[in-house]
Amino acid sequence: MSFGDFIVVVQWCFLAYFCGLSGVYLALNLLAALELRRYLPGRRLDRLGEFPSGLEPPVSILVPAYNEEATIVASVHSLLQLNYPEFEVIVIDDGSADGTLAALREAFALVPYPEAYRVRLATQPVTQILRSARRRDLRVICKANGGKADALNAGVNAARFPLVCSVDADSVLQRDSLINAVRPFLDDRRTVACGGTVRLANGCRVDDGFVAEIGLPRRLLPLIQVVEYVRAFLFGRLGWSRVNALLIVSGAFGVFHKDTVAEVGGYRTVTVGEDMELILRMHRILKDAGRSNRITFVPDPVCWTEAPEDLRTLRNQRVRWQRGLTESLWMNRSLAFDPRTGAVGLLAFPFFLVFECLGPLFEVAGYLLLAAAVVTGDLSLQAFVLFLALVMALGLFLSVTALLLDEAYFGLYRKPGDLARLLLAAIAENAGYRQLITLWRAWGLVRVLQRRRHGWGRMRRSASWSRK
Amino acid sequence: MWPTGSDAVLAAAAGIALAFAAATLLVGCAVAWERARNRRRRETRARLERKWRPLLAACIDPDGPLDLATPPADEYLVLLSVWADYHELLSGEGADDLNAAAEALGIPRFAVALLRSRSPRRRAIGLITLGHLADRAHLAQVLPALADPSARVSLAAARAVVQIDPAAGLPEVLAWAGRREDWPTARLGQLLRDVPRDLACRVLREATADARGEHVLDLLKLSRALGCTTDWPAIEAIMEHHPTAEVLVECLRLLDDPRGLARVRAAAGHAAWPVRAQAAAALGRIGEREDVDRLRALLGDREWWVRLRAADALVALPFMSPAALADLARTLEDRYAHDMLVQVLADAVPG
Repeated sequence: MSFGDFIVVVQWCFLAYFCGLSGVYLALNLLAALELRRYLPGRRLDRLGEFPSGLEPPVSILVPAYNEEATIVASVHSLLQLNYPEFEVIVIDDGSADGTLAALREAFALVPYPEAYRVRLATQPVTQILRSARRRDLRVICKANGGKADALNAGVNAARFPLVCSVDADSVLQRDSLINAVRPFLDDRRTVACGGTVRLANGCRVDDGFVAEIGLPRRLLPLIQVVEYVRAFLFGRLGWSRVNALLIVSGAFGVFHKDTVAEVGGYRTVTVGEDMELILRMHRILKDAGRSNRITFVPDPVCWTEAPEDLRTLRNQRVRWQRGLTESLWMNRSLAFDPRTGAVGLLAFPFFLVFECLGPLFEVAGYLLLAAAVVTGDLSLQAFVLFLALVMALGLFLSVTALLLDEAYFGLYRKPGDLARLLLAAIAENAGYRQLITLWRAWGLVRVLQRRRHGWGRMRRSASWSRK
Repeated sequence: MWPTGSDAVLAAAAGIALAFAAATLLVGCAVAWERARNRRRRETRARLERKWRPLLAACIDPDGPLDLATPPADEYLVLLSVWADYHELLSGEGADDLNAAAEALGIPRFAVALLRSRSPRRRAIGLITLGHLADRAHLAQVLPALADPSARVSLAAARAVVQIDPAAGLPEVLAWAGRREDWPTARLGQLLRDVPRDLACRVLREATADARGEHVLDLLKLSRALGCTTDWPAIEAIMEHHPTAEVLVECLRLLDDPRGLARVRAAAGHAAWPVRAQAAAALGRIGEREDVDRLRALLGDREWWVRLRAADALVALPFMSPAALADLARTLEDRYAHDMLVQVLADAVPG
């Protein structure tokens, strides 16, 4: 086979890849639109006359923290103000080397608490348990460093309530986040986990730990990520949730049935994608046990987080995410094409494997080969440019459709000029940003093969949105 | 495949790219249109709220009444929404005043018309309105909606039935609850809050006695959520008819009658730990001195929750003084039992 023939095959593969990718994305689009159409008008009605029934399960909020001295006190203050009938906050200090514990001790008057600590999940040693003298619903578990997954497992051990909610120490929640995320547990007893839409706090004003004014970031990089998040959460997660094939509940905010988490073995400490790996393992083990459970998603914005504002931090984040994705899929590979798991094994898992996990490699290899073919004269420059235009047009179409759904059902960004900025960001996303992310993701895949050890994913944060 | 610009496949690819670009342009326009439409909707709603909120607020002012003109048809939905918002906040005379205003505004007629709408949302709005109006004349129109295929609509009907006639409506709604698997128990718990507690507890007791299967559990949970007290004979009858661990757990949670002590003691040795845990908790409410040893044994149970409930129970027993509890903690040889009692004693210290 000549190089020219090989390039023809590559082109066909590329076309098939993009047709498959766009087909699934368009289907997810449709599913998400149907779900929003069903969910949101009803939700507004449900809120008429909605008050505690007395049957809401109490929730243990788990806040794993590692060197969070700067933000932990404000985060805990805001968590303690959530609107929910009964909950406790458990901060797990994972051997912080800074003043995280001292800040908590001073702000909440922590005193030693003789807890009969229950070890359901093995973790690094717990060195001390403290409780607030002012707020009995606040405890701090101090333990040797073991990573985020290990800290969450210690939190599950200490949790007193049937539902646990994992929250990143730097996340900003809505006051009604818990109410929204617990509702699926009340409506359907089979629900074992629920995630919600994560939005970006860059450009928002945060007062007293809650988003007081929604806005868009000034800088292009986080602005593009706003569009990216809207697409990922509204299409991806909501669409997959519609067919009960959600493969990830974000680590930034997720509510879980505690006993189910313990039953499947808790969070795995050997992966950086502990949030996704847990969900995949839940699907796998619960199906093996012949149980029909639901892992669901609410489109309401429940959590605001800060996006990286510089390329270096963004690269680290995406490399890490790609590693987490790959490790999670590999650890649960028996799900692939398992007909017992329905849409999980037959649709979602293969999609994530081919398009999300291996996709970046295909794309990078494809771009390089096509560029080489242009150099060797096996492909015209016109055809190459046309190919890039096709890829960009498809990506742009999907991004703009996400903006349409977001505008139709949420309409959060209402300032003059916001729409134009979002549309421009959608263009920028597909003209360079996406290709850069693809490159980093491919690198993340390579890093998995190198089997590098991992720790807490640190992110440089400006917290420019935070007033208090 | 695409060696030259004249290749047919190249033309096709260009066509696809152009089609996507055109579709993107169209969707972009749709976003702008949707945004403008949303803004118009928000402005219209804000304008109508500005108009109707003061008028409805004036209706519940003792200095009223007001002359209320029938609104144009396109204002009714917003008016109903504002009116329902007020209703959720009010009861007694204020609610009566709002209902009088509703009559003057022609709201009942509009709400009844909404029941025939094809839109589930509109049907639900109609039912919510009729529920707040609480007029028995509407009961016949509301009852059929209990069978509505939409859970949301049927639950709105259930709430309306209970609001219109709690005494007759609640048994009917609870009977439907046994048949409607799409009615979450928590939603029933919400609508029970509209009913006087004594009535709700009595109807729940009667319904539980006749219920079958999983419905019994739901009704017991609702009784607990409302804080209903259930006497021993009623609980004993339920235990006899439904001898499952789940029902036993719920019965033990409700039990506050010393006549049930023998069954509680027996349950303390049950194979299922949730039963043992609730038996320990019940002993904390109705136990006697001789139960201290039983609770002490449960403090050493292999299940953490049983140990916690046993420790809670020991602390709750009125005859267990702080000194006696401290002595007990000192003499416990089982480390797990000791740790649990120490934890619960720390919890018992006023914060």
